[in-house]
Amino acid sequence: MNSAVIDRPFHRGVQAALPMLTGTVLFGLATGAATAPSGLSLPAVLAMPAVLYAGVGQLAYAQLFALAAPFASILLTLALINLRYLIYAAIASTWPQPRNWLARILTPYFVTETSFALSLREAPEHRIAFMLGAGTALWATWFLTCTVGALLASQLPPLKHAYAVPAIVLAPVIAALLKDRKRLGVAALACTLGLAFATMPYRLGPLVAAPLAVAVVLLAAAVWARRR
Amino acid sequence: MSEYLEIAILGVALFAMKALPFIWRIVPRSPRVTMVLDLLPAGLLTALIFPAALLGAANQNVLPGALVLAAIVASVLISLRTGKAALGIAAGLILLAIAEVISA
Repeated sequence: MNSAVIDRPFHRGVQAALPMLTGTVLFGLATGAATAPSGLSLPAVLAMPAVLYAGVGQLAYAQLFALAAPFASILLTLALINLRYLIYAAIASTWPQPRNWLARILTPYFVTETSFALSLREAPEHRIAFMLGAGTALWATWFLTCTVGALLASQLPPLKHAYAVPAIVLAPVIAALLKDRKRLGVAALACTLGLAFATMPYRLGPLVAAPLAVAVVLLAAAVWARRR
Repeated sequence: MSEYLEIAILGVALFAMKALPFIWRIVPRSPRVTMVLDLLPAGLLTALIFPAALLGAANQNVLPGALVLAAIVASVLISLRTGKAALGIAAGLILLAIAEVISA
């Protein structure tokens, strides 16, 4: 990677990701430990965090592999579960892009909830370099902890409340995004709608809830502006 | 099909999902789209992260469930108050660890 990529936003990205790594460690260990007993060979389990780099996707693949599900259904399931990445990437693609080809390849690979959420705090022109920095730290930690989790699967105690780790780790980042009434309204409505749509299959609830919340808030803002 | 080939195909498919918007630039540029894209991250991240945690906590016994909720609240409040996300996250994870011990 040349010096154009490793610039100050890149370092800021690494630094910003450091507090998040505690969550990545816990979730990586749990994911590695959960995928190990699926019947996949150890090299395949160890390859997953590097090749797929998608926690829920890795868990889903391991479970469906253990059930001997047809590959077409596995592919469709993973595509639907990870549809949110398409939206993150679509938003990130509107940010100024780097000229370096390696950075252009790595940017989509490093798009995750955490790297995306952290990058929003940066000025648009620095976001890609910042995301590469955060992504590098998050990916390295994810790969290492998934590997350790898979190797020590039988010795790690199961976490009963692992579902809350992403909320605890990302809550400060999300809270910092809610800078005005519109964003606050969108977040409150999206959370409420997310609860209402929680039973939708393939984790599609948030993908319906968020655009709906944005549409309602924009409509309400337009009506309010006309009345005034 | 070999498991290695399956993982490779899935990896390519997931990467393609993320890379296509960068290659095709499918997102149109207009003031309205900019307004939507400005608000969408807050909605998407909130809808994705919090309902799962809230429903998970609601399905627990009272004390561990309350501790999980307190962990999330502490994470937000302490990080906003101090301006340091690490402190909020640490406090949240300590409360979560207590919930784990109680649930064990």
